[in-house]
Amino acid sequence: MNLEHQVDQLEELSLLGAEKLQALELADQIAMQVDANQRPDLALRLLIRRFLAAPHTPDALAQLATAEAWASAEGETDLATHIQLLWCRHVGLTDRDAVPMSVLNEAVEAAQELSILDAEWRLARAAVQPNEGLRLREEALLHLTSHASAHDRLLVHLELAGDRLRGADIAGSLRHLDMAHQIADEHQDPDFICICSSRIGLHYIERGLSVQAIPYLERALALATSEDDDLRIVIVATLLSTLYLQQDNQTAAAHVADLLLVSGARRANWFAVVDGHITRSSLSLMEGDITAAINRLVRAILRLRELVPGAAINILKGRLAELRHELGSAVFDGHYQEAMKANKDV
Amino acid sequence: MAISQEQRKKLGLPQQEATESQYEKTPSLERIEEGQEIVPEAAERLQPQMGNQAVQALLSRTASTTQTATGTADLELAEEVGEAQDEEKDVSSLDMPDVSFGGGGDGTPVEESPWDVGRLFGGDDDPPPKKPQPKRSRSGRARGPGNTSDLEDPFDDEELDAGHIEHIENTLGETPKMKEEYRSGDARYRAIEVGLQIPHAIGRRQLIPESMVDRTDHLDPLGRATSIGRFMATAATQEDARLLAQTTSGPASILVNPQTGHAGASARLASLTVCIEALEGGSTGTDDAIRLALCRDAWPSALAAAKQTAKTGRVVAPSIVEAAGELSEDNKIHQPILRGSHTDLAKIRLGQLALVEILPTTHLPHIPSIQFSSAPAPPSDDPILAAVDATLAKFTGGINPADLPQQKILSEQAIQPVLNAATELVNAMGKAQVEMAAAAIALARVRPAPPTRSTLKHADTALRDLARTVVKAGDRLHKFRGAPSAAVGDLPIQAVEEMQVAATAFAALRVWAMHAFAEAMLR
Repeated sequence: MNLEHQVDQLEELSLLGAEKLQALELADQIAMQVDANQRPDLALRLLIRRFLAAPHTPDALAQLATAEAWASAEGETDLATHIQLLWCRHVGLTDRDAVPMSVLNEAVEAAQELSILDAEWRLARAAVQPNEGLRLREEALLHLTSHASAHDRLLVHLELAGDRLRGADIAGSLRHLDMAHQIADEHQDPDFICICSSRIGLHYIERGLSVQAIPYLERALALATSEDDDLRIVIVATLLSTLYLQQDNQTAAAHVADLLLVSGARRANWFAVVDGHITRSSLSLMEGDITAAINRLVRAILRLRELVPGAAINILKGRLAELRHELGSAVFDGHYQEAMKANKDV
Repeated sequence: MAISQEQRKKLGLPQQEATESQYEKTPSLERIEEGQEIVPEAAERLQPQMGNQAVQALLSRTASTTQTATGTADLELAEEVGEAQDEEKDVSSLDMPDVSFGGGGDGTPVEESPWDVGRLFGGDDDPPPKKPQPKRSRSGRARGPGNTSDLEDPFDDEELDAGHIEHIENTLGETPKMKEEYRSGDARYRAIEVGLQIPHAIGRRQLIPESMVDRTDHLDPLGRATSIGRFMATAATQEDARLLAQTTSGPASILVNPQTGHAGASARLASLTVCIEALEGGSTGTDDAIRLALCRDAWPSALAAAKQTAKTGRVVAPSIVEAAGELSEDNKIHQPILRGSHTDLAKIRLGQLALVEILPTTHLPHIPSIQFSSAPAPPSDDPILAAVDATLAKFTGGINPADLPQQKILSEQAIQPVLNAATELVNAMGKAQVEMAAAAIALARVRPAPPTRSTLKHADTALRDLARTVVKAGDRLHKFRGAPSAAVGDLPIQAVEEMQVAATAFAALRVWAMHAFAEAMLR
C-alpha cells in the first residue's frame, strides 16, 4: 500500500475508541515514511488528522499555526484553509475574542468559493459567533454523516447541548447529551463516555433529579477509576458520596469516600481528602459509633497538620465543634479524650 | 461671579477668556497666543484681519498636541503615550495647562464622585450647579461594602457556641501554616482558602439548603465557593469547568447535605472549587485571576483614597494607589509575556474578566452631532397659496415673506447636549483613573508589588491628553453659541469630531489598560 492510500485510510478512521488508537499508530508509521519536502500535502493531511485526534496538547495549536504557514507557502490552498478553520474553531471555543475576524472571514470565504469543508467553516464560525452557534452547528451536523466524522459529530452534539442550555431548552440540551453519549457508546470510547455521563449526571443534579443522576455518575466513576483519572474521580466521587448519604446507601458512600481519600491525596486536593474523612466520620456516627466518628477526625487533624493547607484542618476542627454541639459537651468530651489518647503518638 | 473660571483655575483646566468685554474693547490678532481661546464675537471681528483659514490654522496648531488621541487605535495609542513617557515629557510644560480630575467642580470634594468636575463649559451667568448631597443612611451606610463583617449577619442563629470551637482549638492547638514547598498539584489553587481561615465560621449549628443561595459574602466558607462558581460559570474557558461551576454556583441541595453538617458542605464545595480550577488549568495564573475577581474591597478602597486625593484636586491613578497604601513596581521584564501560548492568553482573558467583575459598570457617553435648525421653507410657487401663507404668517406672528430670511444661528440649545456629553466624558475619564487605581490595588492585594506602575503612568498621561482635547474642543464650541453659522463654518463640527475621536480613543485606552493589568498578574 502506498503512502497516499495509507493517508486515505487514516482519514477514514473515526478517532474514537479503538479506532483512535489505530489511527494514532498509523499516523506514527506514516510520519516515519513520508518525505515532507516531496509530498507536503501528505504531511499536512497527516498533521491535521493528528491534531484532530489530540487537539488539547499544549503545543497543538502552535503547531497548527506553523502548519498553516507551511501550507500557504506550498500553495496548498485547500489544506491551508482547512487548517485556518480548525485553528479558528479550537481557539474560538475557548476564547472567541482571540480569533481575528479577518482570518476567519478569509478562511470561510475560501471554503465557500471552493465548495469544500462545509461542516468545518460552519463550526469555525459557530465558535466565534455564539448567537449563530445553534443554527450553524445544526447545519454542520447535516454534513457530518461519514464514519470518519463520528468524533466531530460527538463534539458538535456536546456543543449543541451547551447552546440549548443557554437558550433554556433543558430537554433539548439533554437530547444532545444523550446523542453524544450514544456515539461514544457505539465506538466504546471510555474518555467520551466518562465525559458524557458526567455531564448528564450534572444536568440531572441541576434539575434536582438526583436519583436519575446516580447511574450516569456511577458509570463515569467506574470509567475514571479504570483510567486512573484522579481529577474526574474526585469530581464524581464528591457528588456521589453526598447522593449515597441522601439515599442512605452507606456501603456505597463508604466506598466513594475511600476513593476521595486516595485520589484527593494523589492530586493534592486536600479538601477532597477532608471531605472523605468527614463522610466516613458521618457514616460512623450514623452507625452509632461515636468514638470512631470523633477518632477519625482527630487522627486526620494530627496526621495532616503541617502537610496540608490550614484551611483544610480548620474544616476538620469546625466539624469536631459541630459534633460537640450535636452530642453535647459531656458525651463528646468523653469520646474526644479517648480519641486524643489513642492518637497521642501520631 | 463666574463659577467656571474659579473651578477651572483650581482644576488647572484651560482658562476661558478673561471677560467678554475686554475682547470687545481690543480685539487683536497679536493678543491671541497658542492655546488661547477666541470668543465668537472676537473671532467674527478678527475675520477681516486673518480670515477663517487663519483661525483654522491657529486652532489646528493648538490641537496638534492632541494628535496622539486621534487617528490611532487600541494599542498604538498606548505605545505612543509610552514613548512620550520614555522621553520624560513633562506634561505640565505643555502649552495647555495641566488637566486634573476631580475636586468637585468648585474645588471642594464631592462626597459621591471624587472625579466629578462639575460644570466645565460656560456658567458665567448661570446659577452654580447643584452638588450631589452625601447620602445619609439611617444605619451607618457609610460602612464600605468590603466591611461585610460589620453588617448584620442573617445566619447568626446558625452560629455555634464559641466555647465548642475554643475547646477544640485549646486541645489540638492552633493550625500551623502549610509550608510553601508542599504547595504542589492542586494545592496551588488557594483562592478558596481565604473563606476557610476561621474555624468559628466553618462549624455551624445547622445546615439549610438556602445557605448556598443566600450567602453572597465572599469571605464566608460557602459564600466564597458559590462566588467563585458564579464567576467561573461564565468566565472559564473550558466547558467542563463552566458546567461544574454552574453546579456549585446555584442552589444544588445535594451539595449541602445536613448529615455532614456545615463543615462537610464547606469541604465538598471547597474540593469542587479546586476541581473547577484544575479543569480550567493555568495553575497560579488562573488562581490569581479568581482571587482578583473576589477582591471586592479594591473599588471601595480606591474610592476612599480618591476622595482623599480629591482634596488636592488631583484624582490621578498613581496618587490613588499610593494613598490606598499599596505598592506598584515598574515592569523590569522587557520580554512579552505572550509567546504564542494559548494558555497564557486564556489566563489574561480570565484576569480581564476578573477586573470587569470588581469594577463598576462603565458607561461611555455618546457625543451627539450638532443639529442645526432647518432653514425657513421657501414661499409656495402657487401665488394664491403663497398669499394665504403670508396672511397666516402675519396673523400668527410667523415670518413675513417680505422680510429678509433670518440669519441661521448656532443656538445654545443646539450645542448644549454636546457640551453636556463632553462634561460626562471628562467625568468618565476621571472615573477611569479611579478604576485603574482600583485594578492596581486589587492586583497588589493578590500578589505583592505587581508591575503596574508603568501602566498607571501611561494611562494617566493619556487620559489627561484626552481630557485636554475634550475641554479645548468644548471651550471652542461654547464660544460659538449665538454665532451665525455662516461665520463659524465647519468649526463647530470639527470640535464635535475631535470630541468623538477622543471618546473612541478613551474606550481603546481603557481596554489596553485592563489588558496590561491582567498581563501584569502573570509577570
